[in-house]
Amino acid sequence: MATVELLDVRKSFGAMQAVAGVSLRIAEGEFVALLGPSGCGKTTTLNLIAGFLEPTGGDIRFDGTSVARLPPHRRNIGVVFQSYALFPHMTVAQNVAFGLEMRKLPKPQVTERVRRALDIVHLGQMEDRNSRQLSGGQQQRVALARALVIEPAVLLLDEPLSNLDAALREQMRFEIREIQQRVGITTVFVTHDQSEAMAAADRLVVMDKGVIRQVGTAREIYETPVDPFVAGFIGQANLIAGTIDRVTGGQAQVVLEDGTRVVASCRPDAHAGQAVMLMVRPEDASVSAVAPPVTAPSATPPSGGNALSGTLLRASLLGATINLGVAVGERSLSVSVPRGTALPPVGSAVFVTWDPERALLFPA
Amino acid sequence: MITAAMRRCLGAYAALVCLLAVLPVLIIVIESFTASDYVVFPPSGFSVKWYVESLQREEFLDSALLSLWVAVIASVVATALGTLVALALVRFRFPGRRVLQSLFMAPLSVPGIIFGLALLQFLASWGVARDMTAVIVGHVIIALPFAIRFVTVALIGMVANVELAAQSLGASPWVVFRRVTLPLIRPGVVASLVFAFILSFDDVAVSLFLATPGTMTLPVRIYVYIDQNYDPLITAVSAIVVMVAFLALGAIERTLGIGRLFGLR
Repeated sequence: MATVELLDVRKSFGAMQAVAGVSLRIAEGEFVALLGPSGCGKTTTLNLIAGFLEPTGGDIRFDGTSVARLPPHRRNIGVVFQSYALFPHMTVAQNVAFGLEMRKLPKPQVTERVRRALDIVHLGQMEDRNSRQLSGGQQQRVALARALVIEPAVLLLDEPLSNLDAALREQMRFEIREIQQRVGITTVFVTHDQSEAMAAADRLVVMDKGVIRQVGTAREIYETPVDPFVAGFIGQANLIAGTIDRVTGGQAQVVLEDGTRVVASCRPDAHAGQAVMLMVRPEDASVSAVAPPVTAPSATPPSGGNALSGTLLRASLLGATINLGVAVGERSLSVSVPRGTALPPVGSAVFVTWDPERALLFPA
Repeated sequence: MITAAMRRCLGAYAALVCLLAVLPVLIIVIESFTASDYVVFPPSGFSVKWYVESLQREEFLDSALLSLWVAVIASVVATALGTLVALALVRFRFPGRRVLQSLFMAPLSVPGIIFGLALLQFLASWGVARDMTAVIVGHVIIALPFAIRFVTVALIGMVANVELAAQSLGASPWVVFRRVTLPLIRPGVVASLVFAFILSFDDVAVSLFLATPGTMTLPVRIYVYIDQNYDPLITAVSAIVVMVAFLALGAIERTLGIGRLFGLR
């Protein structure tokens, strides 16, 4: 177990900057998820921590000691790959024992620790199976046991659930979290799946184009994303361009593209005349057939009345929620309401409304 | 749509092609059991006397033994070199990689007889004597493209990231190769050994130029013998060579299957 520090880490492949200055401190025993679209640099960052790649700049430290120039086999890391990468010519027990043999542990100890590691991942009876005879989920667990058994300074998980089917993936993300908690190991988890990251990690690191966009708990990032990218990547977001007309007490009156006036929470540095993006999450909006009461635009302080008129295009039941598509002018807004909500018929004129507290403004 | 009838036709056609390829060799083998003193088909009578005779001819035994040694050494050297080249070409990205890849396959496009002549000239200009080493060098060069090919196919077929996984678990590069890479590419390595052995053991074109009376491989000995005599002795010797090659192929089939050798499976 160790703290992991990335200090302005950079990695270029020719002219392409895959990681363009990433700084991050991961506490001992913390579970951090690197999250972002493909090509954002998250896997490169993981490979740099593992030592599979050498940084072109910056430093990587485990417990304050630089490891940036150490080859992977001298770093004391555990890695679980997306493809599991089990040794196909070895049994389950031999796979798990490999790292312990490299550490020259006496045989009885190896046997004992392999057994314990397999128990942790609920594969106690599988020791002598060939790794190729296991299901995807079982292979995943063997890979996890193999990485954990050496008690590495840091556990690195590279999209470990992407090859599993949906149901198993759901189960494994909580299981990985539970095992990580039990062992208390510093863990870096790379994924492009936001719900996976939110379910498993203490903190999320949202990356894009080789840089960190935001670091925080799932709740912080979901409720107060720093920019439209993060807002759109973690959860869904309706984004509408507009201009701030007036700022009053933490709230701004915004004139949207189509001339509609709405009210939204804003940052302290927001000012009149600023071009902004209004963000409303689908589940924070609702749809009604009648216009809500509107106070005069000149009223001080402005309140309520956030409503855009449009046409209900579709209503799709997604299980617990119904997703609605509403055409407002040229754009289509997404609204999510609980199952069983009474709805106007599809095709009718509706108003999309939301609580100003729930709407955020980003500088455009 | 392939109907059952079409499938039967295709099967028959494939069988016919196989038969055509094997038939001439089969005829030699059948002829070798003749009791007559001249080569004839069908053989008149049955006898193994030509086999007995061939095993008593010292020059053939010496040549066979030499061929065996040359083939063993050439196949081991070609496979070792081929494995190193394949590792470099598959595992590393470096400028000129594609060019090298084609260059290593180039000997395939040179007719053996021209290559033999070229090698003879080359060795002569360097003042190197024609001896067993020269023959081995020649055979290593003709077998190398195949060795590289087989090991490359095996490397590409390896499960992704197992080498990185081994590294992360604390294995140094050499241990990774010994404990993970080598066991996983073994089918390719075995294929390379066997195929290089057959290539070397059967080669006439290159050996013809490099052979001296003291270093005459078996195929060259057969060639020289036919030039002067034509009796059933040579069919018996030929049959023995065919059987050695056959046994070698059988060994591949047993260990990994002929199809895999050519990347068909």
